[in-house]
Amino acid sequence: MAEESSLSSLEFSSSLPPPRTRIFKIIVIGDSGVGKTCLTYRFCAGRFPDKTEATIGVDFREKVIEIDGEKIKVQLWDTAGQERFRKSMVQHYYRNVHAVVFVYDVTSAASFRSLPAWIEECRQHALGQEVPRILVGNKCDLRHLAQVSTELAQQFADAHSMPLFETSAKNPQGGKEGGRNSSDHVEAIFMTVAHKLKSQKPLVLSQPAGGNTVTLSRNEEEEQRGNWGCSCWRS
Amino acid sequence: MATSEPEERLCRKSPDAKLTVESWKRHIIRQLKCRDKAQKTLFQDVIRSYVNLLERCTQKAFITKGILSATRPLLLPSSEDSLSSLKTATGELAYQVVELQQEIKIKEAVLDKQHARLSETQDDLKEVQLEHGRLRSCVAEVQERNQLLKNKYDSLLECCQHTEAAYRKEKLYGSELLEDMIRWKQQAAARMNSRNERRVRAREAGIHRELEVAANKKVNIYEVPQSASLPSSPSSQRSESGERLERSRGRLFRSASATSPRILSSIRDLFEKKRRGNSVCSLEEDFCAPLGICLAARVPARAIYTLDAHELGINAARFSPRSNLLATGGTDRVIKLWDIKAGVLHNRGTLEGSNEGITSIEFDSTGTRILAASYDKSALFWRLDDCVPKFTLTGHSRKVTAARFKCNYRQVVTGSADRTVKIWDLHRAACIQTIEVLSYCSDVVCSEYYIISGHYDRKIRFWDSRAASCTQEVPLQGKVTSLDISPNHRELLSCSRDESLQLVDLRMSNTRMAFRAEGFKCGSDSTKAIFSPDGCYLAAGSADGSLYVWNVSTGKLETRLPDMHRCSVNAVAWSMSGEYVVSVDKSRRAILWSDV
Repeated sequence: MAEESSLSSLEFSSSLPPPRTRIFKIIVIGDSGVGKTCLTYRFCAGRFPDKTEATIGVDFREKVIEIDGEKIKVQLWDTAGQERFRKSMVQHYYRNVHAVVFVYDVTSAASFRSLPAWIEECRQHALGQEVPRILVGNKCDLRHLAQVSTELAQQFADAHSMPLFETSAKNPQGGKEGGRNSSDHVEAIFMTVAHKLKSQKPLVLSQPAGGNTVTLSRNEEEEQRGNWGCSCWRS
Repeated sequence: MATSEPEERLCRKSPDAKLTVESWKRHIIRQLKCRDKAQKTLFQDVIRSYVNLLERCTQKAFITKGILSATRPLLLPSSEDSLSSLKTATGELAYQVVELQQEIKIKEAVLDKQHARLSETQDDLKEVQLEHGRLRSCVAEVQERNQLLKNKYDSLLECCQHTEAAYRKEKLYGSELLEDMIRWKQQAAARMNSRNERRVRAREAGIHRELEVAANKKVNIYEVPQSASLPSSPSSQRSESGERLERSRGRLFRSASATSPRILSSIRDLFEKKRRGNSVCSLEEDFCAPLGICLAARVPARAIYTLDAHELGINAARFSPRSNLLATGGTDRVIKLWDIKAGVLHNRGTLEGSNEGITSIEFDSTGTRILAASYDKSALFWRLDDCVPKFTLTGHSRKVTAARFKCNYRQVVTGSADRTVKIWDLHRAACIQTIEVLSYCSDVVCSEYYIISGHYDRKIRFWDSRAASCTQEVPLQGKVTSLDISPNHRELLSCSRDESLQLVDLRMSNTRMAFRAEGFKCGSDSTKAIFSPDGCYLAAGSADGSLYVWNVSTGKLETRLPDMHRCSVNAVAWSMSGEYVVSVDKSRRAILWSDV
């Protein structure tokens, strides 16, 4: 915990990067204990955290990545899974968010079953369909304890037109069990999201201007969404 | 014997007197017999017993004489007998004595035994007493120990209670800490969001600047053909006011980093805007009527007309964006419309319908509709061709202090003393959103993205008009009395009771400029300060009845116009042509100022 906070404070205190660096705000949501913190920590610090405690409110983790020569700052919002730690913060999570990562625990059917609730929350906060969402099944190094089959998860992901990734924040190499079940690297997942975001229209503040122009731009975004299907994500 | 003597005498007498004596004698005899009977018979027994006694006495005396003579010889054998009997008696007695002595011995032995037993018992008793004492001390000890234990228990109990209380407190503290932490996190999240937004905006601004630079470089190439096409463009197209321009500029920012054709088109867009600006400059004289843009406001220099415009104090004044039509609203419940002709204010009509005084007035962009806020807890909406209000927006619980059109003119925002800001849909004439604020709202303005409200708790708050969340707070030193937004929607002017005007840059809200002047004093909690229509000057009236005008670019006081008002100035309006300024005061006076 202390390590994390020092990390995040370090991130805060570091001077602002040149304004040209784009920031992608990505929120990571899911049930308590599915490994959101580990996942984001893994991506930003490159290793599995020794010890984590329940996240209160939100933790911010940032990482600057380079895509096609452009430096992009990925700002991960590691949200609290426990209702009592997040209740008053939800509107902050969804403000101007660029992508949403839903996480469930492959060893916990309950965490998978509550995904529709998370998606509903997302919908309630007026997130347009143009905001990319992905589904991540975590802890797949515990394959022998798995309660959620890849097939079921894939069905769910297809139904909500989200790409599915299965990974393990602890052991991203994963067990190669044949087929396409080999787990995805944490890094690769977020990089995919970043690539997707970069290839999208330049991001704007999603403020309502109330004019026709905005409606138009929304339409454009929705048109673009066509490319954001799940098929192209599976390779 | 004595008794027989008189009888004898009587008997001797009787022969003396034979007859009489006979009776006499009889009588005496009778008497005597009677006497005898009474006296002798009574003692007969005594005499007899006496005789008896005498006889016995003599008899006894004889006996004793005989006995005395007879006993002497008789006594010896009898004493021997008695001796023997005595001896036997003595023997018996001795035996008895022995027996008794034996008995005594036995008794003594018994006594001894009993003594022994007694002493034994006493010993026992002593022992028992000792034991008793010991036990008692034991009991005392145990009791003491019990007491000690009890004390210990009590203290432990107390300790336990104490600890429990401490635990509860800690728990409470813990939850408080958690709440605090969540609050901090919330703030951090809000900060992060606003930082992101700021950065996006800064980026947009940077790109915009670069584009502008690029546009300036190439301006010569395109200017000629395009300016040629200008005059033919219809005026209605031009009239799509600065706000639309602003929006198109906004779009331009967004697409800025897109592919090159887009950049080209946006640059072209920019030129169009530029071209319009030029044209306006060249047609300065006649632009004022159709266009809602003023390029050069003229600083007023003197009062050209004075009028007591209302029955009571005047709270609000506003010029139409299309003409020199002026609307003033007062405590006398009406809005009056004025036209300026030859430096004189002509009354053009009165709008009635409010039940209480008017607090603020706003024209829409076409200049044909008026929105006013009223003390009667409502906002009213008139069309200028109709003196009866088209809508009354009711729903506030206290006076409405401000009513403004949103940028799209389909919605209205009102601020009220009931600590809410409401958003209304004009088509339905219904409230579509209520934002609860913590403090008395003294004024609201709308920018492209935000609703901005000024409050008595010395804060200006920015609201995301969609999410109804407060995105930013700008603290001031005094109650905010009014807000105004610059014509280009980039700067916010606030007037507050710390006798200063503050200019806040809406893009980088941390940069501020304060305008003060010696003698400038905010006259009331609703004193209104305004931008000039070109955004280069600020005007506000002071409590001493003077009108103050500041220059925005220099930050200095441009002019001070004293002595025309007799009391505190409530509001100022600057005509869209830039020519006229009108100030209104509490004592129902309106003054028209001009630069000539």
